[in-house]
Amino acid sequence: MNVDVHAPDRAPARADLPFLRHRARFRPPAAAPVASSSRADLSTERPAAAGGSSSLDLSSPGPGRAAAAAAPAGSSSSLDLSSPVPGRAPAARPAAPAAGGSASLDLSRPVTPAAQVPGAQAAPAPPATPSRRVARPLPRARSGERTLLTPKAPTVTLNRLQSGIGVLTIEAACSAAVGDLRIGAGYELADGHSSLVSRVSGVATAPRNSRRPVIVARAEQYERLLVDLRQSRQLDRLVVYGFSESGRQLNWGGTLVLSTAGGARVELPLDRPPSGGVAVLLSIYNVRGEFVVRAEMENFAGSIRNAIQAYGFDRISWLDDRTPVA
Amino acid sequence: MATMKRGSNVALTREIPSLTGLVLGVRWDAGAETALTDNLVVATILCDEHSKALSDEHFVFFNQLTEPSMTVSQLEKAMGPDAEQIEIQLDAVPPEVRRIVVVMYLNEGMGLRRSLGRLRECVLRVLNLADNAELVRSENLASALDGETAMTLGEVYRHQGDWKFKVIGEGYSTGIAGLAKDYGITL
Repeated sequence: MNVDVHAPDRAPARADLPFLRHRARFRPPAAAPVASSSRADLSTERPAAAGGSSSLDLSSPGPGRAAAAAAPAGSSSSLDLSSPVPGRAPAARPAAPAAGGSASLDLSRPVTPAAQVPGAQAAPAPPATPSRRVARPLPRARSGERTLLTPKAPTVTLNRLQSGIGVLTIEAACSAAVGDLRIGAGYELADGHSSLVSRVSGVATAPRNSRRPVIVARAEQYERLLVDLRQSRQLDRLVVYGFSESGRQLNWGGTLVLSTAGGARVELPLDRPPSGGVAVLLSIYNVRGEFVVRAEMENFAGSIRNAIQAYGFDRISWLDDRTPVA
Repeated sequence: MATMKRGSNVALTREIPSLTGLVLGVRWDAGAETALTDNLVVATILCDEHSKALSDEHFVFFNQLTEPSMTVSQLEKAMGPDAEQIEIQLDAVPPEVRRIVVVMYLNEGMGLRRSLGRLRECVLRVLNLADNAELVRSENLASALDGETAMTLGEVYRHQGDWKFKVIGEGYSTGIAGLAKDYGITL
């Protein structure tokens, strides 16, 4: 999300906001005026009694109306209060800060400060300061390629296709030398439900006993978590942890591998000093349809319950320190 | 209401000059096979003149409900009898978009092997965005399917200044991977 607050016109499209879908992005008026028939252009001077017009026309002179002050043309907003009304006293109203007349909040263009108000000094337009873009390029997972998560580069983002097609596989590729490593995850769904998914805790699907689980815990060659990306919109977040089933110390090694349908691989080396307890390894947050993957690598001396609670899962009821109640 | 066979096309904006927007509706029936319908995905690909997607952002589906120009959008909840609906503001589609292709695939990987051959019915229909009136519909595209896991349903495309609609109904046995390869999408 390289969002430059100085240039909203270059902001990425919000594909997750369907109610915005019929609105055109604001375009600078350098382009030819768009004659949009579906939108009421109220800047034209026409009588309020235009036949059949149900839209509110505040631009026509009416009795008792206060005059608008600033009056730039080229407005295409649905409600334009800035049209000129000749012969009106501008003192009736404070200067309207309606440069451009766009109803949408537009921070990209310098607001002309009350240039048309008599008595006010026509301030020169502020010099175009070069916008200081400090946004770093967001690390992106590339299909068919490998991304290594390191302490200096702990995050990577999957795009909406990588986060929504096929299955996301999270696998603990560790040899027997590590010990009896088991993985599980705390999860939170869009409907607010949160719990654990872990074979060892007796909940191999999320939600538990679901006919159509969002997450499944399996053991093949290694311990695995599978996320059904057809239901990716149901998943808000996932926090993957590892622990020793017998409670012994783990001699960490191996790699946590996350892979997508298109062959993007995210690898997290599990190189840590030997430890007991629980280690939170990785988190995935669903940010507007994109999965943001982050290496956590944090040790907790206590139980799974302690570790998961430390990540803000405070709505899980527990049977014991590693099992949520049904 | 006219039923169109595979391969047939109709000049939408020439027949209806006032047409400024479309709704493409996809309807299916798999009987009790919910494991099939749960995993069906409808997607719309905005293509250039070579039938390649303009970018991965021009793949509109449930996790990317619209594309950069916001003229093609999938509804989160379809209205009426369709399973999925896509709205197209025809008069605002950017000129570089030559074809708008509607596809369907089975999201696989959780272990349930299914195919589109289990569908009893699959119909693509075209409505007028202005009044929801049905303009045309395809024949039942499910009847020719067997082991396929993806299908191109139909397309809306530019032709000599008009928008035309064509029923395609071509299956893929390679699922979304085959579709993505054909349309130049990086999964």
